[in-house]
Amino acid sequence: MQEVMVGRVRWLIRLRWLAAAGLVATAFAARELTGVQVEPVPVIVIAIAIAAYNGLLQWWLARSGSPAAAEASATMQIIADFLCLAALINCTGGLINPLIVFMMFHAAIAGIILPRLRAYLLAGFGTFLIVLMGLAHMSERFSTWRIPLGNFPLETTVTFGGRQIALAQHPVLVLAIAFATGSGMFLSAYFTSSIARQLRQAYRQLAAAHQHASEREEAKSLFMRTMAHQLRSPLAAITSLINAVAQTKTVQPERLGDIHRRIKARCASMMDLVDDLLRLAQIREGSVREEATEPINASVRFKEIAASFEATAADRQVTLEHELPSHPVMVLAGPRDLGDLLGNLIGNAVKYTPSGGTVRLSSGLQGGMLVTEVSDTGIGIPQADMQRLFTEFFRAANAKKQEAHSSGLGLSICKEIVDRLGGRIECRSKEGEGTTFRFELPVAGATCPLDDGPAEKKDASPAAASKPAVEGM
Amino acid sequence: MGEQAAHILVVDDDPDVVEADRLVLEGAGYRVSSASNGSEALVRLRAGDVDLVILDVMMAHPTEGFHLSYEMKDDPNLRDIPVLMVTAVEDRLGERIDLAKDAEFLPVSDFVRKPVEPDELLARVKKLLEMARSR
Repeated sequence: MQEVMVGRVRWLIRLRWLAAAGLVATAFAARELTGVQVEPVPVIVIAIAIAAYNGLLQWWLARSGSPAAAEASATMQIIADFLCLAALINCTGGLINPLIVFMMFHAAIAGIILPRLRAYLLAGFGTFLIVLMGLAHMSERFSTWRIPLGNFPLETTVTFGGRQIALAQHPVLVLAIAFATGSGMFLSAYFTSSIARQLRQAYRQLAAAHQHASEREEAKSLFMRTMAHQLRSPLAAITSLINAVAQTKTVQPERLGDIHRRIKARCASMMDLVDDLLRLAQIREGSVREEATEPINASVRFKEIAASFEATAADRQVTLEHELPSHPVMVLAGPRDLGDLLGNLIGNAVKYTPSGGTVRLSSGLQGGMLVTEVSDTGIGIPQADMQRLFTEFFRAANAKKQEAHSSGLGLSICKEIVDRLGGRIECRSKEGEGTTFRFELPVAGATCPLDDGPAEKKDASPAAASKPAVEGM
Repeated sequence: MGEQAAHILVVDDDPDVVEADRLVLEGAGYRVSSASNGSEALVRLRAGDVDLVILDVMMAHPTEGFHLSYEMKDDPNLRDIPVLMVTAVEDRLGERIDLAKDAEFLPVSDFVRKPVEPDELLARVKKLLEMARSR
């Protein structure tokens, strides 16, 4: 932003060189072509003054070029420009010189390069100069400051208040010119600053969008690279094992069996990875395409999902408990969403809980949301890893140690699903003590009783169990 | 096979790769032991009797293998043990390592890309052991 200011001041300086040259050329052309008697001395003096301070500015800006100073100097520059223009107009016919419209250019430039308030202040300053000039015209004492334009018809005299005065001294005309030019300056400042503000905002948005796009491109490329690595490692291991068996003439049958088991396990983990990748892509495409969701009874669905882990949990000697709403709770979701979401969370909880531990699933209504928690007494997540938990392929250090081969996509999938369904997911954990994942999903409105309003009406029915135990957790 | 059961240490955090190398190397008559990380490998090396190290660059940390090779070069007892570096490192770092170009930064004797063909692995191991012996 600051560099932009220096650029704008440079632009103003370039413009001023043009103005100084144009001033001399116009005065010369007016004299030669129209015969108007323009006094050459004040025009040349003013042109030299403009050139002098402009040259000084250019030299100073090239030497120091401090953005803050450039901004401060811009106001002073426009004030100097106003003074020079006012002096020039005053010396070449006064307020009735048509060149007075150039006062508006200064206000416009102020609107472009300066903050709006400052542009208004400068427009006010320009108006003040014009009023001052008008007062000077009307006062007999200062009228000699005005150098007449010789035979120019504007020197016509009129009768006002019973006496002959120059047209330029007519109070109504002076007032009209002061009003027209002054309001013109304020409007110029307003219009240009509005347009400049819009353009700057559009530029900022564009720059932000560009930044965002390149960050996404980078993330995508990192994702691809990590994915390729994740696929290559098991492939390398499988290839090595197959080559080794092929190379070695005599392998004991039990060793061959072990190698077969190893290859199978790596193939299975690769298959899981590919499945997770496909699922992740599907969810993302789904959120882009606004894929259809349907009302699903979460109370029933959650129970089914929990039941599908009972065998695994029993195998690992982990107790799997659940406390679910007894009445139907409808949630809008895709057919696979809830299974993937809760399945990943319970699967992780069971996997990372040592035998003898407990995994507990609880779910209940809270302010129009279905709040579900999966907590375990497992190995927990190191504090340092909490932040990147939902990042694709990221795996906590202790999880990697326990379970060498896993896609690291499960929680990314959970997050994508919850985001897509308009909910949120969070995690709290203490290493060595356990982990709790909590997610909230919006309940599909009219199809079920909410915990507030309608719940009281339900008091008559034996739905005491509908009050979930989740709040205390 | 000229070697009298040379002892080879395979350092790799992937137990399946270790198993594959073990199968190939033991099939060729070598004695094989393994380590899954740098510090374990150093303990094993300092216990003595290792003739050659097959080292994976990337273990828990992307540069663990490099660190081990540097530590070996700093240790007068381990300095002369040949190191065959095996890696897929360019996958993660996006850069290919060239032994001819990077030799001065990489204190290893030879360098192959993962996965290695058994014939190639055996040929390189044999060559490195012979070079070490003739020194």
